[in-house]
Amino acid sequence: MGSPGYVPLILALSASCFQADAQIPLVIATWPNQVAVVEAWSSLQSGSCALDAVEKGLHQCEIDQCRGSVGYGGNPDEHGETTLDAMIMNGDTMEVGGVGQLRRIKSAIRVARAVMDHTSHSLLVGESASEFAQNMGFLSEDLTTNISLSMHVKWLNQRCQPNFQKNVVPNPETSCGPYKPIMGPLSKKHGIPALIGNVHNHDTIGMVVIDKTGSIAAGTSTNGLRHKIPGRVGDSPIVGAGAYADSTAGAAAATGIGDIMMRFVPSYQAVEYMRMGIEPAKACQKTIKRIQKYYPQIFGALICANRTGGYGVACSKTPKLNQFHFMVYNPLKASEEIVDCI
Amino acid sequence: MWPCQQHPNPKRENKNCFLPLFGLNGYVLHLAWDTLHSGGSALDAVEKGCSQCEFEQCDGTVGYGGSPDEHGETTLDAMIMNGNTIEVGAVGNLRRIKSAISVARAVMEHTSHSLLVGESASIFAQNMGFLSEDLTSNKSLSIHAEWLSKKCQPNFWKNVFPNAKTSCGPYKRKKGQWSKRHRMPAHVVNVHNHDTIGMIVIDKSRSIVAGTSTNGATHKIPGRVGDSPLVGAGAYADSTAGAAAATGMGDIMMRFLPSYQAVEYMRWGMEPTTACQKVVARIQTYYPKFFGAIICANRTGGYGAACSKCPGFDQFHFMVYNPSETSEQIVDCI
Repeated sequence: MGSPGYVPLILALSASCFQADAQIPLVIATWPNQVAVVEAWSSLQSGSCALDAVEKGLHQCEIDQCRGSVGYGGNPDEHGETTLDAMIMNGDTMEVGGVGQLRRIKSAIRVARAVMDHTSHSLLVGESASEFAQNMGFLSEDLTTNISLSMHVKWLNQRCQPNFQKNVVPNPETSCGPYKPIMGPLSKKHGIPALIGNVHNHDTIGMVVIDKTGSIAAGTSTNGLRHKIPGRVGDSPIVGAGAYADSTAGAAAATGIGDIMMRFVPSYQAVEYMRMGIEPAKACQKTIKRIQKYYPQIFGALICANRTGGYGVACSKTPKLNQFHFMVYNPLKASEEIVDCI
Repeated sequence: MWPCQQHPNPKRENKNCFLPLFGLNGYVLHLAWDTLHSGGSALDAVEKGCSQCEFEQCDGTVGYGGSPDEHGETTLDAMIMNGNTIEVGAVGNLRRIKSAISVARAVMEHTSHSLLVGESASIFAQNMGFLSEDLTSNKSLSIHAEWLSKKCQPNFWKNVFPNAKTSCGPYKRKKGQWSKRHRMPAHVVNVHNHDTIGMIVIDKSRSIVAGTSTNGATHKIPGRVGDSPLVGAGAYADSTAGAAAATGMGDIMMRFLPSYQAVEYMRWGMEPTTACQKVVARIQTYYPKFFGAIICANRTGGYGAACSKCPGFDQFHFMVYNPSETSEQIVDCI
């Protein structure tokens, strides 16, 4: 069973191991996305459940285009289009709603919630997800803005660097597409473009909320990877990868290079560790370390919370990321906090 | 050559050990085995085996011409996972391309991504040289027509109007009090509308690969992606621990990451059958009568399977290949 998270613990044990007094209600989110957390917290204060608070908080980031990585007008794909991924999970019932590569609909998290509330499915993708959204009353509109357009044009002028193609011709390291597959022996190199480990093109907002009844919900929203291959879905809307919630154990949410992180199902694994009684910070760290065994310089971070409101965060140290900022609101605090990466 | 599980002489190495698969005929297995035998990798074997099922439309639940969605279209989900590198390639809601597992492999080998979906995945596939063609057949068309004439029952809608239990769509959101009950369509527990092919291969170098391919749930809402192409849900492979693959009600099962969890259990040293059973039991805590099964294999070639007992389903059949015979095995559901 779970560890006694209600036992007061020393705050800020070390730079990279963060433990906190367990308190609920709790809102914790990746990156310094204050608007989202404020919205979620005040929603809780007005009597909303955890699920509604997650939806409201993430939706605020979609409206505000948090850090350019959430919502419309950011991170265009190879064709210049902005498409959205989001998920929401109910830790009481284990229900999930997710959308991947949602086109022309701004409120991805709300559509994800509609998937959960109005269908028996867990994930809808692509053009068809947009049709579903329109049936559910969402407005179809262009997600492109001058900013996303100029990002795309600049990228085209840089010979489409960086990109996510490999083992193709023409050489994707020096040329735009379209590309055709190389026949014959393939390079085994993973081909993570050098530039993509950049805090400004990998910022999913992931949020965990525990309400006063102890119900836990988690969710994510993102416009994905800048210059992604059209149709690319990362970790964010995938249950267990981008986020996971189980009111009997805890919840976690991830951010970073989703293509890699999703292969390790990190949010699910972190919750499993907490289920076994491991403290949230440790649960997060152990999960990051597992990924680092295969990808030592993975760009990524994980937030973890157990059922009594204990929380912890861990991130993977890379040349471009050695500290990770996140937001925490609980009865004792409303603050931006930092952990050193491991 | 000996079956993968136990060898009478433990000192003798198991060569080309070929592991559990389910939902296929013997020929498909034989083909995958032949691929290994001719020097192909475990990746090649999984791809060949799943491809054959796509080509043969195994059971009507893999490949073109089966399981039409609400619009009558057949769309495909597939994944392939390399247990050595933990790389994954997958496609979801792939339209108009027949060879889903091969496109999944192309995602793994020609991009840094792990999952491509929808119309855009089809464009990627065409760039990779795959042919765009209609996946509808007379059979899938008539399945769809029959469904329309039955007031679109069963379907996967809830809390909408008109009432999804008595009427076709299009539907709009219902205002007011909603049912919180997870709505499982009554007829959906049917081995013929929820069959993914899942395959695990261990080659002689002990590299483990897992893969899945399916045309998804019949009458799914367009755009629906189930567990099959999602890493850790439909399948998982880690050459240091084992592999697992799942079939059944993907919408539900994916919430529990069954393949990933089964491999975790085997990583701790649990026997494959027990690992599979524990995973099924965990899902049953929330969904006591869910329809689903999982196969498990550990790195030394032990294997097992488990399934969830529900009306119409109390035994699960799967195949294990060894060169002198193809054996179909059965487990009783729990």
